[in-house]
Amino acid sequence: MVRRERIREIIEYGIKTALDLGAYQVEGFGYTGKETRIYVRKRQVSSSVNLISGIAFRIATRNNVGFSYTTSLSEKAVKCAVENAFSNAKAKGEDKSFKSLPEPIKTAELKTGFDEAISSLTIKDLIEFYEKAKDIVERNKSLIMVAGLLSAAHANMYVINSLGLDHQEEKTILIAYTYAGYLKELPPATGGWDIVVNKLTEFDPDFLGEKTAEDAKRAIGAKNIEFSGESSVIFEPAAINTLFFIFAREIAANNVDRGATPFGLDKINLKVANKNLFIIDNARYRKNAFISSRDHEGVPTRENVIIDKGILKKHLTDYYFALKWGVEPTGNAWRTSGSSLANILSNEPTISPSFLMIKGNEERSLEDLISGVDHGFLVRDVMGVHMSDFSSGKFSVPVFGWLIENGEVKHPVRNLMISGTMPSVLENCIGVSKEKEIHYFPLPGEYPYLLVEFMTATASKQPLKFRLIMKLLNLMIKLGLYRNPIAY
Amino acid sequence: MENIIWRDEIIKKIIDSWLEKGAEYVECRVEAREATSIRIIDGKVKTLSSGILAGMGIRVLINGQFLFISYSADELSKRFVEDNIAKSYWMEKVELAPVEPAVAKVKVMPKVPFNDLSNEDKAKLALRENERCKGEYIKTVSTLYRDEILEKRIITSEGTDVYMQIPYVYIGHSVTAVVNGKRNESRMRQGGIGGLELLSEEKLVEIAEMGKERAVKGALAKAVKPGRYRVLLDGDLNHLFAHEAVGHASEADSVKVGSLLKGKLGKKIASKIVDLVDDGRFEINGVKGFGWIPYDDEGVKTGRTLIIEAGILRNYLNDRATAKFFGLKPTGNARAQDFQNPPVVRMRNTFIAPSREAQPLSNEELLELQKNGLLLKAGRGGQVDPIRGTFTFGVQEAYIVENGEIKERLGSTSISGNFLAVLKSIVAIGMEFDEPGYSLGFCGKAMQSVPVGVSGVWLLVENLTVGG
Repeated sequence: MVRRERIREIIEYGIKTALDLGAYQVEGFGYTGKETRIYVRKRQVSSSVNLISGIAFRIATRNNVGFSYTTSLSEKAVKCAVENAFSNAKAKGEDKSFKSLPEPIKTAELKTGFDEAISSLTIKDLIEFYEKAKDIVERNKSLIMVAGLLSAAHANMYVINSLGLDHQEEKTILIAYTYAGYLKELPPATGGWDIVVNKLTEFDPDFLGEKTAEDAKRAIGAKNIEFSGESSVIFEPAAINTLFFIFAREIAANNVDRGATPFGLDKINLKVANKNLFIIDNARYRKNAFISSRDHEGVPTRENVIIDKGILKKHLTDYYFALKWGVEPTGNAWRTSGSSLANILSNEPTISPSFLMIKGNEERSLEDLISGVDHGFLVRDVMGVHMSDFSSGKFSVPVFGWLIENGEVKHPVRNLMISGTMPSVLENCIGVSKEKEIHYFPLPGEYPYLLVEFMTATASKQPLKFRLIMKLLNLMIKLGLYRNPIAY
Repeated sequence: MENIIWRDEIIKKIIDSWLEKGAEYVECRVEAREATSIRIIDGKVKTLSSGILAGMGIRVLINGQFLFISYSADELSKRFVEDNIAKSYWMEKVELAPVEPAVAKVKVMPKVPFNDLSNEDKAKLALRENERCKGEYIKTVSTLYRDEILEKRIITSEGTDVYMQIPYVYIGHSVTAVVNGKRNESRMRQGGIGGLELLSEEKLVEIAEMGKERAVKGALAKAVKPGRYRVLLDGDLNHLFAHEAVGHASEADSVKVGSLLKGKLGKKIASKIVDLVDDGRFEINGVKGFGWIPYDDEGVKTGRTLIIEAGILRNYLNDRATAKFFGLKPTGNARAQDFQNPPVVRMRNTFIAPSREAQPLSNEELLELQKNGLLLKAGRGGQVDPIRGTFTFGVQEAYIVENGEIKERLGSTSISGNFLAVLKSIVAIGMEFDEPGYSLGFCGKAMQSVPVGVSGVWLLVENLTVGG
């Protein structure tokens, strides 16, 4: 990776160049990162090593901020990026709400999780981890490891601005996800598990394999049923993690400010959820593998109570909206990269939760939650949340889950859809479990099981001919006359 | 543009050094993306960014395994880490189907280049379009303008040397209406492959009006009653249906894993009136599909791939490795999001077309034939699980159809089903190809996003599950 000192020198050069051009304020974001990754699909392995460095500038006139970036660190490219950011700021015209880039704010600096052992992981190491998990899964001869992703990343990030803010952070992260299928059923029961750690000693590939196998096994035996109407639904932690992607959009100041949310400024200090519910965002939580003292603008992170006993207390902000609204900044401006490290440079910081925590004033055991449901569904995973209407929180999504009858989980259900709105999920959430799980994608956090009433559920049988064909194929699989497509 | 920074001799040296280490095949993909992006929120320019992401991705086939390494400009290193070449008993040996080395240079020349407008003028254009979406009941409008010139060169140890320059441009709106306390958001895009000529005043007025109307009427509308319906899908939804319900499952890497289409080549999987097409060079009336790529990221020339012909599964979408595995020909479907990712099998412009067995009908005739049910228009993304066969896609506009006439507008909804069950349920197919300029999509797979299209004719489908 490019030397750290060089990145610092280049940012300082860019800041000086911009100030010489007449900029009011300047911020340089420097990044140098390495990612070693394997993406496995059955016996196909795609191995990658990515080495990326670059710079992004936010340059302010007194009226506005412009943005530019480059993956070349040559003097010419950096100068060009500075000039572009400056001219972009001028081209934006006047924003009366813009006051300043972030001032330096003191905070307790946390140790943010650098581990040399993760940084030095090679493709061979990752394949060994995958193999261990795969062996555990396939100890059960009816299961097969279908897919997996392991990624070891090491990044150095800098946020330096002309107001004296100077933040540097070095981080390592290991992400592991595996997915298994059941060989004796068509369509096969599947299940998966993910682990994200910032210390290699916290990663156990055997545990990954065990959880993956367990998740696939419990999905065996799905049935078609006919149901349409209102129903109680218990969302599992992984489903909450996905569904709350909608909520994350709705509590971000940029969407709140323009009124594209059901949780607007007019709802502050009003009841928006069941009075038992707490929703907190806390980048500093010790179990958060992405633990951070500061966000990607260099603003200190903090514990932010968003919903307190059902009352909306706060939205998440970046520095711009904190000044515009006259509130304390929450430290939620993050630059995202997705699968391409360099995108962390081309994406301006946007507001999103750091690490969501959902709690109940009173928490019950999962068993207790289930026993209170006469008829409902236990939902494990949710598809297509990105199709939702974020301004109203309306969603209508296929899910995988189990039928609950008379307080007992009966069997998995095929072709189940759940619809509702995010406000109704919060208002009708009558139970929070003591059991919690940490999940990171799409939304890092620690999630309980939530019991929600009055959800609209639709489960329908496939056409008779299709069901008969599937029955026949399943019989043939049992007799060894047909091989499941995932088997070979 | 002069953004591709590595000289021929450097690329040659990289290829030679890997061949000396025993590589069977080396592929260098040098890439630069120069983009300008402008976000307008309610009459204010919120973000204006521009920049270049450039680098090189090297894919090496060594000891029967692919290794991919990517570098940004200052990271290109001669260090070679032996531990990154790994092999284990269970890993499949990769072999490549042979192709004739391609040598080509393709530049799509915009009629109106992006730099005809300064960034200030582009911001004014986006502001004007944002303003156009305002109106009664409209609470907020977010508008995104984006232009990008992608420069790419693919050089392989087999002699392929393909250079491509492709300009992308679009304007997209997210319009939120609030009527009597009820909210509804509409989303739409206009643009494609080419220059600023794609953002004609006429087209922009059309999407702004459409955005407003869709948002307001959606807020006023009653919710769809969940259940099974006889459904008429418009061209945008034809594309989404083809893409989500069948396209992903026909990607040969997914087939290898265990998609429900495995082992079904030559078998009837759909209604006989159905052809399913994925076309790398799709154009209609001079407009290129958003997934138009003349060569894929292995340097393989693209074309039209017939996946389903008259209901029979005829082909999978292949890269060179899957083509070798299945004994098929490469179809030019190896695509990477950018230089930081290895190519994987991806769709391009995918849609269901009338087969030789079909008697295509006009949209009016389709409505008459449908008689009662729902007319669904305008997509909002989708997802599929090719192993379980479950697919879903979002729908922005729903209408009740009664006695062949379009009646009451209903709220946005979604569709879900098992693709093997629904493919045989397509009972009639249209002849009027909907405007592809609205159907600009981005498809995610293996954490990579690539532009895809395109649109299609209307489809009449029996017994689809519609959510609330």
